[in-house]
Amino acid sequence: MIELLYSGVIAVFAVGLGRWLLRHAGCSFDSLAEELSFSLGVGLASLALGVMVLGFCNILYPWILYALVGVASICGCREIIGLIGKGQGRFRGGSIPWQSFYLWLGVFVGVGVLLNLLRALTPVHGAVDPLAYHLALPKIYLQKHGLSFEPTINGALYPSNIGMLFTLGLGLHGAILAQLLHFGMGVSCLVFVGVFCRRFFNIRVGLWAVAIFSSLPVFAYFGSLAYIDVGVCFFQFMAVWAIFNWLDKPDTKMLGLAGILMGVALGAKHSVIPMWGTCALLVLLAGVLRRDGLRKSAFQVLLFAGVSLALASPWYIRSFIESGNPLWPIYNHLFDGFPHYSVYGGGAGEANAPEPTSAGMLPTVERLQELILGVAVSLWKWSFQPKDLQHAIGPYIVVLLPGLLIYARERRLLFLLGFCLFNYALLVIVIGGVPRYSLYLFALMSVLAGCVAEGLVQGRLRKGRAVLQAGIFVTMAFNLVWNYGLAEASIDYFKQGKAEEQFLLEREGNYRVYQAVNKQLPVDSRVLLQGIVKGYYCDKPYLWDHPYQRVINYADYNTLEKLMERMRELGLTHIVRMIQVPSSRVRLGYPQYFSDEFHEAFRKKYLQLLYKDESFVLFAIKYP
Amino acid sequence: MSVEEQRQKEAEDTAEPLALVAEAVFLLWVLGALFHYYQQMGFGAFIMDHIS
Repeated sequence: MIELLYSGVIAVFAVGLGRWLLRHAGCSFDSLAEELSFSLGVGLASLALGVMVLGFCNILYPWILYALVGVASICGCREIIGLIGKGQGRFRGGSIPWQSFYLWLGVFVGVGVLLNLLRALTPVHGAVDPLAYHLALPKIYLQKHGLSFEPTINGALYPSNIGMLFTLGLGLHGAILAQLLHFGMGVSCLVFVGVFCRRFFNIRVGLWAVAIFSSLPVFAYFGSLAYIDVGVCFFQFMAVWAIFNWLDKPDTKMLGLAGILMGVALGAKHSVIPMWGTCALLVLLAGVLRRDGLRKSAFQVLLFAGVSLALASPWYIRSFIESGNPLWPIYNHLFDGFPHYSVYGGGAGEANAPEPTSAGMLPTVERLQELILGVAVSLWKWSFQPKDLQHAIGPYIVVLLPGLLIYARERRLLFLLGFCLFNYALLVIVIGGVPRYSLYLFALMSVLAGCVAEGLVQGRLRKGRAVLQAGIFVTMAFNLVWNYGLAEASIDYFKQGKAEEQFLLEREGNYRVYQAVNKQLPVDSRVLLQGIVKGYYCDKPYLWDHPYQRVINYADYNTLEKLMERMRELGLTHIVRMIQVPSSRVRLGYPQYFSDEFHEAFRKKYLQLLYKDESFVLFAIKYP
Repeated sequence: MSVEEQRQKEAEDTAEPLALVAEAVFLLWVLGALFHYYQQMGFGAFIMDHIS
């Protein structure tokens, strides 16, 4: 629970630091709430970039991370006092009657947030990505005190601004703090949506939008875990918000701020690139439509695009220097980068499928038809037939959006609708059609849905209002039941007061074998993970034996002696192996080690069993 | 009757019938689609299990 205090302190200092920076830059805001929101965004961005600089300088030590937060506190201390003074007297508004539907919407959101908070406070377990790389890489960076390149780990060279915030959390207090920082960014997104609506629509629309966005299964589920997507949404939404502010009231500083926030988002995930292009185009169009003149329009685009590219560039330059491909491993065949199976842009089929040539990138007629169909039906599918939780957007957006035909009269609403539709098409066509990668879009769509819901409530059907509110009330209660189901393990964890170690032994399948690794193996051990990728709890250096990596490619090392020699070259001393690799991973290209002739022969000749449980074994490699 | 309710009533009285029908149809769609979604999610069975 101490993590709550840590995250609160980080958030307060981030607000102070952000406000200090914004005040020195001369930015002005519509309201105190907007100022606080942007201060938090800029403050967290500064901390992430600060950790990145420390990582590049190879001085990632916990005490330096404390010093970084200390600097933020020195810069922000007076600002926070100023903000408290400014805020005094502003929150003495009239009370809301308990019968108010909006109050109950707020209560539903609050209870949902509390249930998700319990999940965020639970030791990191279960989900693959956080334990495989979102937290595993920051842990390795802290062990090595710098941003090392781990060529077998997926995402080793992805832009990693959110990973830098996780590094801060890990360095200060451990994985739960990192997870909590991500959760906090999710809660901040809800606040941002409300404040955004208050500026451009009204607070009632804001409450609807917050309730709808917080109920999205993809948001509720991933926001409490140490994935990076809600963090990316945090910066993307702020960047779009700043651009909308600039469109509303042209102010070069606001455009620069949009560029900064977009740059941080661009330095957090590749999937932001298409949206960055859309926004640059929007800035250009705005210049043309306002008849700003060629020079001013070009300056505005350059300011926005240049600032964002400059801020994101360290990650892409790092990737280029390490692998020869700024987007490694994406489009690796185009850049001829460090060998790796190209996950995106190179076909997502079998690992040993041939990589396409640049000529093969032109879409066929069938592919075009598929894309058009995808744009037409994806939103519906994500609502009513989601493949998994990363596609699940819940019912409200699809159910309410058709109401725009009745209620979309305002220019702002129509503009927002156009922006959302364009970016939705990009999500389906360019970003692979996974809602988790573009959560900011669903925050904006929640605003649209909120406008419709409010339109219906304030509309001509007086009796319809009560029916709608009752329907929403019941469904929000169902959402809480679902949230409770997700949080059940966490509730048990806190109710029973279990030790973290005990909880992980029960819940995280590979925790026991990593305990054996951490306790039994010599200091200079180097482990190969076979059949698993979740390496977070392994304290020794390790490599993945993943079919996408090309460091140990069994096609190249196809005799026992060659493989042994390769393992010697890589300095491997031990192997952690999953006994029964699931069929989904075998289809991906993993060997089923214990029934594979080659691997069995290798085991019999060179491996010695050190530990075994029902799922994993630990071998020592016996070099001849 | 409060001012707000009076305004609502006036708006309702003077509303074009077509717009009223559109809103009514839309409301039906919203409720029907929400019912379908939660039924499909298994909440129908969940409630029946807890009642019986």
